[in-house]
Amino acid sequence: MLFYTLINKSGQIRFSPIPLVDMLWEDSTIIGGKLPLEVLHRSLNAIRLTKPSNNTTTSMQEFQSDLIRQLKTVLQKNGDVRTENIVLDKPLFNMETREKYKGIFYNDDLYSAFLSGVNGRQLAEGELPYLMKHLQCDEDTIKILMHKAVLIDQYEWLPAIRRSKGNWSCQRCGNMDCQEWISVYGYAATCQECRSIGPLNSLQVIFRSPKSGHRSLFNRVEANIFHKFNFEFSHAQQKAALELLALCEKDEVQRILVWAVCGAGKTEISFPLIYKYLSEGKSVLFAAPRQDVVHDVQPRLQRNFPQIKVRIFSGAVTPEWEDSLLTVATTHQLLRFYKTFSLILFDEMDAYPYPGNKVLEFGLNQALQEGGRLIYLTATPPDSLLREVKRGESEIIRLSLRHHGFPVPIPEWAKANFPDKSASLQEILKKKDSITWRKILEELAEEGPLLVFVPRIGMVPIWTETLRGVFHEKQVEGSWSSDPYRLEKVKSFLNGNCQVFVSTSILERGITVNRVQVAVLFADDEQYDTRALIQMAGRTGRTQAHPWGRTVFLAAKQTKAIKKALAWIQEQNTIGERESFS
Amino acid sequence: MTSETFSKWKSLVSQIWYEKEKICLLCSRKSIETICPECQEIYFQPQMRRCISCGKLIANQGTQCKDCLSGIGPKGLMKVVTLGYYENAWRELICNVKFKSQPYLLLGISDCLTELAMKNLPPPDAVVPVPIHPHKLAERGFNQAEIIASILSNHLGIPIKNYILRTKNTLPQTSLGRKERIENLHGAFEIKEKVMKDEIIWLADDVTTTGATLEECAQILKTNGVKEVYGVCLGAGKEE
Ligand SMILES: [Zn+2]
Ligand SMILES: [Zn+2]
Ligand SMILES: [Zn+2]
Repeated sequence: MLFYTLINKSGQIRFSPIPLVDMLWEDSTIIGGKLPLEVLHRSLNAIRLTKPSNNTTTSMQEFQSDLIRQLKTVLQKNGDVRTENIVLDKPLFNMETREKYKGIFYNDDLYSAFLSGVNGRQLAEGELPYLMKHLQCDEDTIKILMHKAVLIDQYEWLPAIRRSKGNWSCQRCGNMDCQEWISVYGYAATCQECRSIGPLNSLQVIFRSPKSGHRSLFNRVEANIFHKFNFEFSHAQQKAALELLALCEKDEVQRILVWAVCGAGKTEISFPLIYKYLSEGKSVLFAAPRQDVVHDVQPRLQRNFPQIKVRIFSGAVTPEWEDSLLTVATTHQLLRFYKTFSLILFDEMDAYPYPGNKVLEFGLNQALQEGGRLIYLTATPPDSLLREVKRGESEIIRLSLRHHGFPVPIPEWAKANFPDKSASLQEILKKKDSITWRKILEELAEEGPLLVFVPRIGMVPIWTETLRGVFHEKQVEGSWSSDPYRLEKVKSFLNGNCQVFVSTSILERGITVNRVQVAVLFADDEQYDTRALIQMAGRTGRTQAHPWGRTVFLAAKQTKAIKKALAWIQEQNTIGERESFS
Repeated sequence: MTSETFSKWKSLVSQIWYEKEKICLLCSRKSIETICPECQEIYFQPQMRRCISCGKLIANQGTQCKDCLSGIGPKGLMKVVTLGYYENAWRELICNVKFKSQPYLLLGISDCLTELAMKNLPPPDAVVPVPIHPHKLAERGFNQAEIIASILSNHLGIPIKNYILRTKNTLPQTSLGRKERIENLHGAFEIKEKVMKDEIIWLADDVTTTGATLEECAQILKTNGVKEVYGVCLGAGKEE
């Protein structure tokens, strides 16, 4: 989108993509033709202006010609724009356009539909065609609506990518390493870091508002909010939920870690708090790094908050334009929001691809309102977060009992010698050592469906074959994250058609299979840190009907990670036991 | 300094001053140039002639392809120069520029492109990019033909003029046959601003197959007073 330069009676300079709106709004003159906002901002910063001494016409005219002269010089000096390239096609301001624009500008229904669509959003230029489609309007109309919001509602236009001292930085995702190229308007740059939600370059603009104005859709909180939901809270859940509510009464508490064992029902304990926020008209986001978590949580939230539409943002669905107080999104999608949410519940922050991804972290913080609250929900908090708790920067709530009141079964370690990781099928089975691990796997499979983890994708097919040789009577399947048949295979394991399932870490989180038993092969592999081991062990004993189950870590030796995982689960269970008697 | 210490020192120096190693844009192998000599040979096919009227790569010894000889090719252009055969890695690069938002890849070929135009075409008064429809521009964020024009303008000091406006959002040309292409483009362009009389114009676009787009633009420029129009494109088809 290109911008005109305007000046008003008191010498204020404004940039506008649709200058006729500015002229309707206040007495002003167009003094410059279409240029990218980035070029205009940079040029204006590079010049020195003396304010007009008074409001007389001569003094204003002097100011204006000085401005134009200086801008021209800067543009030419920078070699950004050859002035002969720039066409000043002054837009026509005839009666007809004037009336048309006026009609759009003062159409309150259209404007509120527009505001509802952009509320809390950080819009890139590439998204405008979709917004136009949603509002069923043309390009001029959308420009009028957007610029009206800039004039009267504290929205702002900003260059999508800014240059200062030769460095380009993306205003959407914070990336400081953008790729440069040559455009008609001199050097330009493109951001590759946030491309997954649409391309962005420095000739384009971003539209957003630093304040977000959500309306309250709810009545006041009712006395016993636990009865609002379509499930029963366990005693431990209720206790944790109340603790969470109480902590959030304190204004100074802005970060809380909810450290729950696998299968504790940590999502649910945030529901009363979500309810409280919604009842106060405050916007809430439930975020997670992985798409499947987001798609699993959305219907659960929708069932429990039927009064509002729970909107969802993920790479798998096209972005919605209907405003809502409750949003579910993957971390990638958070770059579509700007200071939007009063409360963010961040699930599984230790899951790929979030840890160590600067852009995603930037997006998360950018989506949170100033003074907003961030709550981490996880079974395996990273060390950085535990240090934050230690320093007192973050509060902590522990939920050590599972939903059904039983502790997490403690994993066992069994000494097993495996052949080389690249070993072939014959080599694996020929080895004398195979007797030990075969015996253990057979024992486990007697008890229920068997989940077998291997550390590398390449090992899945070999071990699936190997185990088909071990379990002649059973259906053995194997899958990994990029397997095109992954969903089908997982389904057949969930519904019992397949009884032995070989996998990398994809099934490590979030799934519940009745009576499942877990075997972790090569448990001493460097792929497996403490958190991964805990997550895998956390698959067992999740259901009310079968709260027990065995996890066996099979490895030649006990690594630090194995020892620490056993200790963590042990500690959680001790706390849990204490809680169940309190 | 003994010869031994000197050679040691020399090897040390060469280790310290490692120049930034370039990688060929098309095959990702180490290369001094941004497109390695092997890839230039494979994709640019300098030994093959180009049809003077439509830019297609031709094997015969004449100056025109069969289509142009039979009179169904474009007639409005004095000459069309094209960098390479629009297939495989070269096609992929052009597609990455357009559809994966990687316009910066074009910087790597600015020398080849400038040289091609300079060697084969007379100096112009201006370079004019083939416009894309505003909707496409909004989606993509830039017009690839404008970048090609900007590279030529930047290296050779020629002004860019946006003489033409695209008024119709046409179907992708590559999806159509020759006759449909011509119909598809009919009325897609308009003159945007007053054209200077008797100018020589380089018309820049990313890809040409039948030359129908270039032809449509050239005709509009010429009916509005331009003297001669030349085409510059990155990719073109090949006559089998
Ligand atoms: Zn970015
Ligand atoms: Zn190469
Ligand atoms: Zn030809």
